[in-house]
Amino acid sequence: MLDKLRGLPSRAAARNDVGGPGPLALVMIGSGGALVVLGVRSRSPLGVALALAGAGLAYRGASGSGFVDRLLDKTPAAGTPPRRAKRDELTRTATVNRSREDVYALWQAMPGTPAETLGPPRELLEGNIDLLEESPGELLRWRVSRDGGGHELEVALVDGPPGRGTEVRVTVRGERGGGSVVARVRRRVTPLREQQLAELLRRSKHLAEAGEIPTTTGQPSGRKQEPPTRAEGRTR
Amino acid sequence: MRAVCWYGPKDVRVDSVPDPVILNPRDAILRVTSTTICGSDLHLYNGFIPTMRGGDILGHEFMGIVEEVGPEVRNVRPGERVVVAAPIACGRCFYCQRELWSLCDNSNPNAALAEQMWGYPPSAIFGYSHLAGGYAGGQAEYVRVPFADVGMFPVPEGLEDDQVVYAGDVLATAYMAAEFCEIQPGDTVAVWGCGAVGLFAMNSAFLLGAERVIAIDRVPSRLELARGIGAETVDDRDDVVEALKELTGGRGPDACIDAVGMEAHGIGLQGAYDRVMLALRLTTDRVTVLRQAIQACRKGGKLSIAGVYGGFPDKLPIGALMNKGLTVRTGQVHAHRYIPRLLEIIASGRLDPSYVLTHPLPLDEAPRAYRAFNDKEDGWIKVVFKPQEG
Ligand SMILES: NC(=O)c1ccc[n+]([C@@H]2O[C@H](COP(=O)([O-])OP(=O)(O)OC[C@H]3O[C@@H](n4cnc5c(N)ncnc54)[C@H](O)[C@@H]3O)[C@@H](O)[C@H]2O)c1
Ligand SMILES: [Zn+2]
Ligand SMILES: [Zn+2]
Repeated sequence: MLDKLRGLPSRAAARNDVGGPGPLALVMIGSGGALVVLGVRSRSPLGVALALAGAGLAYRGASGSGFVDRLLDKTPAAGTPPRRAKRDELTRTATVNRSREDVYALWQAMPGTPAETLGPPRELLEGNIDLLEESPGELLRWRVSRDGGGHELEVALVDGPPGRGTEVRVTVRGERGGGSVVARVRRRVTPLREQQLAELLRRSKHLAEAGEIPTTTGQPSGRKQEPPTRAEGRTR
Repeated sequence: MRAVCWYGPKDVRVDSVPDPVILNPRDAILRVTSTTICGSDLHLYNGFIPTMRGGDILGHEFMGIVEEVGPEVRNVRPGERVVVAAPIACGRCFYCQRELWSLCDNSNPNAALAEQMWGYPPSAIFGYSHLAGGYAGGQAEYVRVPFADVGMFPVPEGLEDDQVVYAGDVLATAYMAAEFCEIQPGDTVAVWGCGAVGLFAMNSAFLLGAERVIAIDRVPSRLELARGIGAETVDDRDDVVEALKELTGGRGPDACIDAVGMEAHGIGLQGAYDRVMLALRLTTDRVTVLRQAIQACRKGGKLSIAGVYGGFPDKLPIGALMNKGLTVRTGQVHAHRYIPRLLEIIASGRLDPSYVLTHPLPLDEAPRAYRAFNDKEDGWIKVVFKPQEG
């Protein structure tokens, strides 16, 4: 319980949520985007109305536009940004419909899970990995070091309510140290880490529950300029 | 292979594209024998659903013969004839285990996108935008079916494609919509829309014990089919709310089913207002039917929304909804939950859904078929493509 309270976002974190790739950023396009920005900034009831109207404006505009292509070509976008509970600490929680032992085993094997399986979020586990702490069924903590810096990755498991699986809380910590000034500033302002953390957690859940990570890479489409990667040369 | 690809609003073409292959252990490849245009495809066709990309393969209501299965698919074999559920679901998450298949946590590779829009991401759906996963759809000669071990359902001997192809989507949707009405003996159910979803919802309402069904639409051939089922009809250009009050002894229907969705045609002042708002992009969905249904429903009645909505609509009478104490049930279809039951109902002869099929066509006719179906040309009720013919 105390843990949950501590996890509550600070005001700074709340502001951060709006500033990052928040819920409405997706639909920011054309004139609607301007209204959304105005609306979200003002944070008054009128502001909310403006934001919604703006979202409406932008929403249909997104259909079929290059905007969508560009968005989708990027690293998988993150969902709601993880909470920034403390300075320099990112944390995010998901419930996995498996026993605590199963989830623990999956995370134990995570540093050895290949990039081919995990995709871009694998970046979080790239480098020299030292196990700092392990408490079977409950906690795993690693130090991931690489040139000029690194971070700590922690996975904490607790049982959900009876019959409701396992709550998995993943935390990335201690990014501040190391690296050039530019690198440090970049880490502060890009939401990349947050996206990676969100996606790492999501993909670990896919693996634990479904046994595979959903994908469309390699499926056919009418987009001739980008031939499917794994579907080459088979015609019936 | 040949496939129906989306290139922009009102622009679909039949293209040659690479054949699908197995990408994940629980995948299967299906040779498609029948695949339909659903009313939901029209929302894509008209550009109402964001995150489509030029070249996306359409189609989420289809069936066929299993061609190949991945190493983790052990319960279906190549050669089997199956119907496929429109939503893609893993079968093992919190939602799937509660039979809420269209809310699956594990099927949408673009879950983050949907999470931004709606708070939490629903399941993926075949051929239904990148928000819904970006999976290639079934309006093609072949299709890859993820989680095939839970999403494919063998068809009982003796049933034709034209009877069962709808079980994976519109028929299941309609049955679910009727079930949401929790029909009691003596109940009157009003159904907006006499497309396949509306018509099958009327069939389902009777199967589930409704006393009376009232159908609302304007297309003559569609209203005719509704009367064939035993429904009374109201023209949607009339004062629908008044007409329903009149037909129900001043009390209102016990349950209202919206089988129209975000592209309802409007009438009068409000219709004109909606058109202006849409043109100015100040609203996203045309909610004519929702407004009428909320207004018309009896106090304490059920509102069952099968029609698809996507965004932030304007002027929704939440006051009437709240003060009359209506119960709202809605969602994309939990197809996996209903397909076995529906195949049984069809096999028993209690329902033969093939009556909606007006246009069996080769795949190459897709551009013309989309146009006619979208324009509600009289007589075009359901299109089923036969990709292996013609
Ligand atoms: N929830 C789901 O999982 C699910 C599944 C399939 C379809 N759908 C949705 O169900 C809806 C209907 O699908 P369909 O295949 O029957 O489509 P359809 O286009 O064949 O039928 C829609 C019907 O609604 C009628 N209509 C339009 N405006 C009306 C109004 N104001 N009042 C009364 N009738 C009106 C049209 O004339 C038409 O007959 C669509 O929104 C579709 O997206 C939802
Ligand atoms: Zn559909
Ligand atoms: Zn699932």
